[in-house]
Amino acid sequence: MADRWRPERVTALAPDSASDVAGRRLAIPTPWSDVGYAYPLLWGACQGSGSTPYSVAIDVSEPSYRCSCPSHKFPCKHVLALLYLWAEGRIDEGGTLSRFAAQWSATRHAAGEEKPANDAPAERTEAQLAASAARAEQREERVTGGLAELDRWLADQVTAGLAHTRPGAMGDLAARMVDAQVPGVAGRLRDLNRRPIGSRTGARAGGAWLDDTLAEYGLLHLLSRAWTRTDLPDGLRATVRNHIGFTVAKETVLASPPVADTWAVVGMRDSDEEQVSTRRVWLYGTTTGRYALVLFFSSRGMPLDASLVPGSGVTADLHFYPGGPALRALVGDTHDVHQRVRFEVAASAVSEAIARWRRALAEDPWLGSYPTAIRGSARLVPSPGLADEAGDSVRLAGGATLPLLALTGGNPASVFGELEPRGFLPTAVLTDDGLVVL
Amino acid sequence: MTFDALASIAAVGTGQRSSLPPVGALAAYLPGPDEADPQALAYALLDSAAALAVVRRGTPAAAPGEPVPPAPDDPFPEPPVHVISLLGPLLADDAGAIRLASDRAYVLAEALRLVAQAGMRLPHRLLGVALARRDLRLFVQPVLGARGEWLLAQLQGAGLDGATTAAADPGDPELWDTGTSEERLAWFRHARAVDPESARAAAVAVWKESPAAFRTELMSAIAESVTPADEAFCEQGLDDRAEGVRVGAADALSRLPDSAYVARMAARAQEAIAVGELEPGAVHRLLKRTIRTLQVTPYEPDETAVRDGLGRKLSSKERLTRLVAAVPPAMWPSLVGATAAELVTLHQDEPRWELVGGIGTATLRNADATTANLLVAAGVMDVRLVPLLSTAATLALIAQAPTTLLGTVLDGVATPWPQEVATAVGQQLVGTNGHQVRPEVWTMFARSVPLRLAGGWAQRLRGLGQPDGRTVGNMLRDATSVLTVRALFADELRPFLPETSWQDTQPGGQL
Repeated sequence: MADRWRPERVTALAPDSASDVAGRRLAIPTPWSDVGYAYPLLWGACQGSGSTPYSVAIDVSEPSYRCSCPSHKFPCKHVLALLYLWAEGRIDEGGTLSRFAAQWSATRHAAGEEKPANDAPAERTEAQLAASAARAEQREERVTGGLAELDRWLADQVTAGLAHTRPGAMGDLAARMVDAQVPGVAGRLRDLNRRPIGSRTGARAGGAWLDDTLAEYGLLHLLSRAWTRTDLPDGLRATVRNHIGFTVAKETVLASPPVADTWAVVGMRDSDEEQVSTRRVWLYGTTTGRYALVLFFSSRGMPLDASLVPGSGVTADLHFYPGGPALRALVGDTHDVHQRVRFEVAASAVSEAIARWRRALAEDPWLGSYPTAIRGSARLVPSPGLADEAGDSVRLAGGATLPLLALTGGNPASVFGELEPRGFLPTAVLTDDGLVVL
Repeated sequence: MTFDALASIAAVGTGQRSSLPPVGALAAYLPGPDEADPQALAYALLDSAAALAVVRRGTPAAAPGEPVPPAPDDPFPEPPVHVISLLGPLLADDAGAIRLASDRAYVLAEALRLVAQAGMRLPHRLLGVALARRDLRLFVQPVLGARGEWLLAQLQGAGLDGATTAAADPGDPELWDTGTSEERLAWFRHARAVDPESARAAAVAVWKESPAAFRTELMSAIAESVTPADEAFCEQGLDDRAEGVRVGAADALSRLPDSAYVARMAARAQEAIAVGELEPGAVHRLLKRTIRTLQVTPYEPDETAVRDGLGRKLSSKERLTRLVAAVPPAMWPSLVGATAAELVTLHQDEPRWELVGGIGTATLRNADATTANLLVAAGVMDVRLVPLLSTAATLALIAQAPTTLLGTVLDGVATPWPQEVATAVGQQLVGTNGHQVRPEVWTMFARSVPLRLAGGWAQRLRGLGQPDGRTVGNMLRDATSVLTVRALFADELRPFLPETSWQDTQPGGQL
């Protein structure tokens, strides 16, 4: 029988924070009846506003779920609430299997047996292959045109002076970059467009906005120029294509040699961009010492993949995307899932971590952050920072400084996080009780 | 050239320049300028910006400073895991199980108090969010443990704890000389509790130069803690030029049954109020009963009475109220041959509401619980008396009170409510008229039911199913949630609480 989930895993399953809040609100015994659990099925009935309670059935092994409520959220608050109750140990093994859960389970099994094997990609005809090649060529032409326009625009901005930047100008250019099929550049421009423009008068006008904008303009110019170079090594060319927004087919990645390990989930960050939600999950190979970044996407409002929960572990084969530094990966064959994983980590001193971050930037100058573990003592005074034994320090950024201080009490600890220009964003800490996510 | 210098050039634009300053060693890695390109300078600047940006990004900000001594070990245990799982969302103020923020704060405060009584501390991972709840610092502080105290000191050291400005110690004598008006009053009230004579002497010393508003506050504070030794000072207060002081002095003196002021007012009351007998009718003669009647003579004040607060500008009804309010209820039998409670039930030629109000005020001033209970038994509906009432009298008042007044009555009942009061209110809520009860009564009930009864009432409310009407449905659901969570905390922590503590557990208090 699989382990009971931890509440964090339920939280990760929620399609949005409103659903999570609603689920937590219902996660008390008050509205529930006829609850029970027999691996892998979890079921219950929740009294809603109508006279008939909603029936809920969950298969915790996948997970998959079904609720009789009319909500368009998936999973709905009733599913989340039942999972919270179970995760908090308030539903014991046993109970009479509800009719709803039994029928749902039977239907799924029947559907599963009838489902044709569909894993192997269909073989493509010569005509299809030729059309595909033509589309690829057409896209490269569009990208070339789009990046040339980008570079001219950047030069125009610098010639006229950034103090004259028109609000919203970057948003307009981002839209043109989408048309030119350069989504990576469009995303960076939209990020930049969201930053508030500071005062544009005075000798060092604009402050942080000016510095960030110029730095980003320089990096976009670098990307544009790199695209025109035909002499780049394969790895760097793949990196450039990644940042422009070319996707690599899943099957191509999965065909690359696997890296087998027990991977600890040492960080997770969700973000919303336009109509897409993105989940970034950082993994640490407990044997290889490698880091990996697994990305999940979903339409906004739909649940993100919750198979990798911070603090848990997975024994699996990882396949890394081309380009350097090799960070982004796909999870291939999964051999085991661990609710908790115990391991040691050779955490770096601050100087080593920064040296590694610099090496990564040399491979990929557009890289936003780099995962690492630093052995150090967190402190708040005179400024939030993590200091190692040698006295070197790095500023702590993000909202996890206080939880880190609370958990470590200022004692040296191995802290996982992302190193980036602002400093170090802690995501998890290795304590005597194992990995604790911040 | 530094990145800052480059940014300054970029802000103004390269259009007005013919060259760029050299970028030093990085120049070797940059492409040469394309002389044919009219925007060569702009591209050169972008090349330099890219190179310097990468260098800049590779140098994360440092945080120099001296090492901080780590936190000491925590000797106290954490609460049970289910308590922690309930505390987490409440501390984060997630809507979670309880919808209303005020309910969440109340339940959390009660739970933190239970954790403290159980000799436990917050788990380390909840300390950050707990310290962020400055509104609950009073309740969080006792369960911080050694790690939490250390963390708080760090926050304060960094100037990041908004609650660092500790309230001035009201016992600090400096406050009286140098504090604000509020701080001086706080010191005065504290001093009155510790040494009323010295406090009064301090007031006397500054009396003449103090403004009327401050003198009024001082006299009001004296009235709250008046002793016979204050009588002379209060008598002088009757001649003060500020009306507020005069009213406060009369209030203070009427709380001293043996004072000359009370004697004067009692004499006037005897003139104005009398108990007589009506000519009996045939039925009464047959039953050998007499009919006692209340006779009120309008009181015409002389100069002394004006000084005592019975001014000529007052209506006769207001004058009667003030007069009666200054007579201790226990004095009435000796004055008119009837108790205070009897006075309000005697036959009257017209309703004397001013008499009832005055007797109520006097009962409160003298904290006369006996009279309060008798007044309620006589049918007086004065909610000010609730704090003085016995449980039986409170129950009588609850039974008499219209549903719209129930909340006002219950406001005066100390929490947690006695079991009988909780039962009576609960039965009203689940009864047929439950939908008429104002929403705040549901809230008060959910919070004030004694902890040992919370689980049972949660169960009972759950058994009601879905009531008609959205408002009642929401009130029922909210009350059930609060009771359920309170009961969950109580059940989990009960094994660690001393039995007396469990029986008398006080709720979260005022937030």
